[in-house]
Amino acid sequence: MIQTRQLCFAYNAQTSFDFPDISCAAGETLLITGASGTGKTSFLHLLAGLLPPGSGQIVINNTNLGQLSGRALDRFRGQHIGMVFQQVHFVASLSVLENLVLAGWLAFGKKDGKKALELLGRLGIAEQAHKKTAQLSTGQKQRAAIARALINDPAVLLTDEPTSNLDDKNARAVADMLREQAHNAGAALVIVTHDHRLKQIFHSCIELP
Amino acid sequence: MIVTIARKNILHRPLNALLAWVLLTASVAIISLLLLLQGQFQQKFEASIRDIDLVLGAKGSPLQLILSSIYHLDNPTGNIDYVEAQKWMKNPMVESAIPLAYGDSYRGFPIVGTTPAYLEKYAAQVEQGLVFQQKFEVVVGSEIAQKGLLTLGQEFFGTHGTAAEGEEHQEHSYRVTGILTHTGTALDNLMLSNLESVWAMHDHEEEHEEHHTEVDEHATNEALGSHADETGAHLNTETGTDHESHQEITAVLFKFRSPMAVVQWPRMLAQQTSMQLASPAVEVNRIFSLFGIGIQALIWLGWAIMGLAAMSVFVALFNALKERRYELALLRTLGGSRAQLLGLLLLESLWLCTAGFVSGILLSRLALWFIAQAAERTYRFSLDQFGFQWPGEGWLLLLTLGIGISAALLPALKAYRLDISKTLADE
Repeated sequence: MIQTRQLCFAYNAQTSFDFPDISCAAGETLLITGASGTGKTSFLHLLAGLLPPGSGQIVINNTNLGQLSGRALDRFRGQHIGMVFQQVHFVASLSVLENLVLAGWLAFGKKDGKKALELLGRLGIAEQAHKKTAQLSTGQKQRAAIARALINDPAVLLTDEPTSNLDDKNARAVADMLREQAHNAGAALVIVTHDHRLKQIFHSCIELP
Repeated sequence: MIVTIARKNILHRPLNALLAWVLLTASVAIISLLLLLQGQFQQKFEASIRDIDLVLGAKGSPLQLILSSIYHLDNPTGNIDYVEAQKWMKNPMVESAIPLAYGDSYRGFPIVGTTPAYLEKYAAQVEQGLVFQQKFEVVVGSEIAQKGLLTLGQEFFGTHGTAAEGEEHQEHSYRVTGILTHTGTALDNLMLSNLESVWAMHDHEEEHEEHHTEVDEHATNEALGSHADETGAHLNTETGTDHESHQEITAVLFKFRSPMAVVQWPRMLAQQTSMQLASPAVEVNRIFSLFGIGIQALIWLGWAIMGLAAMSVFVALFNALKERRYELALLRTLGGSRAQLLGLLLLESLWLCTAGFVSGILLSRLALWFIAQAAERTYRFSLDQFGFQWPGEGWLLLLTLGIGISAALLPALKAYRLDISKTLADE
């Protein structure tokens, strides 16, 4: 589902990264770990098409991201890539449900409230659907963010430090939930983290040098 | 969907939105109200001087002569001799000359002696009944009739002078023979009779008063003095002692065949007679230049408030942009395009500006309604509250939207150029 080849990225002459090739199939999970300053976040942004690579290529769903640009890249990102960040953010003026519907609309131009509610139900937060996102607890926010990332049935689910702020019990729960949901949705799950606890859960792991 | 988010985003920061909205409303209301007032005053004033080149009247302030004889907003400057006036009225350079004689009033509305040509000048038709023909027959302006003060066939006593509480003339009553169509000019608030009615009413009074003079000169002089204070329109002032030349009028409205007369006559008349000729166009211009300064100053104030409104929209959007950077980056990760972010911020500003424009226009109409009530009571001046002041308010709308766009431009461009990766990494 997602593959990279000889990916390089340079902020400037002093700071440049060569990333190892990765590959992750649908329904599988790949853990990418590394200490601070090894370019974890940059790597994630490259995978999502948020940063243009210096060289090398990224292929998602048989599409080379390097061949897309501007509006086409935005659209591809919306339709094929789901993202969950360490700090979850929402459009604060909209309700949880509206945030999910918005994600569907931005990617496909269609508003599908039914699917959004169903997804919220699957993640156990259907009762929160009409609340503003600021009213949710941290755990509920994370679930809502995962629901939003999955609403367009993405080929790849990219997550950035999903568990670093959580205690052992909750970290385990979130990791299980991510794996389960990505598996059900048939998405390749890529987790970028420095959280070593996750190595015990996911066995497919690449460490950035 | 972007439109919905824009609207919800505004409501999400109600205080910022409120400030911008209030400022926009205030500025639009002030400017629109002034445009309306200026436009309508000008229209009213100019409609009334259509086809009047010069006005003949007693010496005094030319502005007062115009205000009294054309707009009926002031007391007349005095009276002139009808025979002498006729010498000028019959001049071949004159296309039309309409005499006006003020005498009585009814409930504060003047009864003016004139000829049917006065009706033609303002294109007034007799809507019901007939035009005045005999002595003491009057036709009534549309607004007086509309207020139900007088009805067709009603008889009433006039009050001396223009003061509402003057002494009633009980000797003769007037009879309403006709009601005029609405003209939108001063005519709507007048009652018109022939000249003879005015003369007859006051000849009688003259005899009456002279009789008194023999008995008690002192008391009559006092009474006359108080009359003169009450009104300059009084036809029997102390000068009116000659019975033969008693036919006096207050003013004559002239229209000339040749523009030469408009230039030459005022000086000729000033040299040869004790009367004056005043130009309505010149005096109306003078009025506008006088209160035009005030209106202009207020319009500048309106623009200044609009400038503040633009700044408040800008500051609100710009400040919000800091906290919303992440939210905007998020929209991009969800598949939103740069153009959509640009549109979102522009729309937020346009929402506010449109709301401000609409409420400002409504507020100005409401204010005009209150002003109209007061103007109606004090000046008998009716204002149209629901008309759209074209093209002034059209420009105001464009300008408001322009302000909306320019206030949002910088924040919108920042959103357009937002570096998503950097924003997300900076959390």
